[in-house]
Amino acid sequence: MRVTFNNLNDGIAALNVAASALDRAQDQLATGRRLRAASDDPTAAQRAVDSRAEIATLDAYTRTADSAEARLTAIDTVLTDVIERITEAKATAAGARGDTAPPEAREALAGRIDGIRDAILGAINTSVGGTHLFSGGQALSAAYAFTAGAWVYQGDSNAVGVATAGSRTVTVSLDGQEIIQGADAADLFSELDALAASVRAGDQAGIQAGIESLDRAFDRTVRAQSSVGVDLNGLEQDQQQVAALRLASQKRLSKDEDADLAKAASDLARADTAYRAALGAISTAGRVSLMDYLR
Amino acid sequence: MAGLFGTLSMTARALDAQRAGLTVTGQNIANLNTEGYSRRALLLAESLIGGVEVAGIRARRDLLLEARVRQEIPAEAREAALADSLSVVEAALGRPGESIDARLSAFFDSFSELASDPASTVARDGVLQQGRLLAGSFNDMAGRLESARREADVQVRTGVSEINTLAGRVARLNVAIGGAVGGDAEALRDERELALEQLAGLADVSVLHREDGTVDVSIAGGRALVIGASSYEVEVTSTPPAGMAAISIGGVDITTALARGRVAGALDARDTRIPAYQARLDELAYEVARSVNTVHQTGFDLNGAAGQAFFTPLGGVAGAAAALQLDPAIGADPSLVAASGTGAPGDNQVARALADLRGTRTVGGTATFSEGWGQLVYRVGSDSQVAQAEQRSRHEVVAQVARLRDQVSGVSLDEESANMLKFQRAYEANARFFTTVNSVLDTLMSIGGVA
Repeated sequence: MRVTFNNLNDGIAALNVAASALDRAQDQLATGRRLRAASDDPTAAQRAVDSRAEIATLDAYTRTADSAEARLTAIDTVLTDVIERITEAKATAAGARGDTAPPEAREALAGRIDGIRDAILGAINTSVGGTHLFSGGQALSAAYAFTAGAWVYQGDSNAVGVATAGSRTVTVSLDGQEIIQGADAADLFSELDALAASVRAGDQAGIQAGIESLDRAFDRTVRAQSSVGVDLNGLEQDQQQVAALRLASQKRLSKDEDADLAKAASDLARADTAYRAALGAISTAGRVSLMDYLR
Repeated sequence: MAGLFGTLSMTARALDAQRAGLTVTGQNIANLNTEGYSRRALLLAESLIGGVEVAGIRARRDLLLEARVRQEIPAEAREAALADSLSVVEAALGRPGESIDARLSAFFDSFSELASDPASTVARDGVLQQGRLLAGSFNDMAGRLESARREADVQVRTGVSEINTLAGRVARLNVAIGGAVGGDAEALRDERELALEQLAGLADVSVLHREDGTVDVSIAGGRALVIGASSYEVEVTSTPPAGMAAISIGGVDITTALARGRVAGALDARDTRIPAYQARLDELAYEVARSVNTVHQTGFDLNGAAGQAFFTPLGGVAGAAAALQLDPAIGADPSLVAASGTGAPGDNQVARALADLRGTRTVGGTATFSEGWGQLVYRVGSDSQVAQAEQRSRHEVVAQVARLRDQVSGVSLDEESANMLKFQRAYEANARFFTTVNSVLDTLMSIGGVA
């Protein structure tokens, strides 16, 4: 075989191959990324898109769960407050039992009941960031208002839920009427108004009826609060699961996208050696010539 | 037998011949780095009148190997052009998590934010903003794919004009070679061979050598490009609707007949690969608009009115990615976002249904939006990978055949050094002989001079 001067070009081609391998290894090590373009590993690139979509979905659940948790905590606080008020109203009404209390004392007790009514109204009309928590779907309206001489529920019966995991929905806006009135003929505010009137008038039967309706309201509120508690617990469990799923997706993504640093480092060392070898080969081949020996 | 004077003139011719050898060696060394240069060899013959004579200077060629090189080059050139075009597309797609997939996720995220707080103007603004960004990123991507297609078209056009230039050069060289005598033609042949090789890189050409030293070149399966002294123009016509170039020769369209070479690679990218990617992108954009609009229109806006179209309804799949845009009416008024399924402003059923679309297999009934995008990324990536691998293996074949050709035609420095020494020594010996004969003549002349 005749070795011609053009064979030097082969050496340069080999040099280019070695140099691009070196460049690749360097790039992997410097950026920590395995994929420079989709063509480096099309399957991994596709999987990376899928994994990222999965992670984004899980992150959306987490964000929803965080804001749901804040809402549920607010609802829980309000319900605790309502329960305390109802208990206080019951105690107050109990103090008005019997015929012994003078009218001034009864007036004071009735005034206290009016105050409790206003406090419960304030609690049930709580809004967070402009969204009323006890108006069902009518988030822009306060739950109860005194309109045209009567208490009116301004919300609706659609409790609003949000998805906090694949299949779980938690309720973040309650149907206030369910708590305040339930199956009763009149709502708690009208009952409290009637109770205050009975206390003023010393109407024992009225006071007794009022206390019974307070008992029912107490039960309804406690029920609502325990269901909020169940949701809060569920949220926590779901979040652990979501975090585990996210970790799995993140691992898969990292496998597809991130450079194996140990491997990249050894690749770099190897590519460096190959590059030096190619350089050496060219310089050795280029240096030796018959020219040097003809004198 | 020649006399002493005859010997002198024979030696003078021998000196000439060895000097010619040195000149050829010098010529070879001078052209060590000249592309397309074929090694020259001096042919010496014994002279009938005694001594040596230069029989000629021949270039060392192997027509068969040269033809093999020309056969292998077009396949490599085609894959190289395709790989170039596809790497442009690949770069246009962007990295996972930084492209349309990220915009899709952000878009559906904004609906789940809205579901958490359906009456919030901030959340509604967020939905509109993300809708705008998503539509914008589809528009940008469509634009990038279209410009990649235009770039491929420009490559086709410049390729064709190069073909015409080279064909013209081959025809002119045919004329020159036909009229040249002796060694002069070798340089012209080298130049023509180089032109033919470049031509082979552009398109699949076949070359026919004629007895008078000229070549005929045909293109696209037998259409004449060069015959003797004439070359035929390959023409480019812009065709509607996109104004892409159609290639014809002698009035016959050969666009689809070009199978190999750089022009064919650019044509493949322009007419097959990129349009397929565009169709997928359009399908994705169309499905996004259709599904979002369908769900959005089942809902009610903040004022309790029935939901309108979220994206401006698209006429069809073709061109959907470029046309996708947020409906201007909704864009101007965040309260028109229909989040509610009941009409109550705090209800979020439709916002949740819209957020759930991210996990629904709507694209072709088999893939979610992000999976649809992933499939496009995979398709482009694997096409590009195949083209690159194909180019590498084709390149190896070309390099091997070229190496075989160079073994015949290439210049070896060692060989030339040895030749240089050979001719130098021969020249020295002849000169020495000349001196000797000269001194014999001197002796002869001095006989009886001074008795």
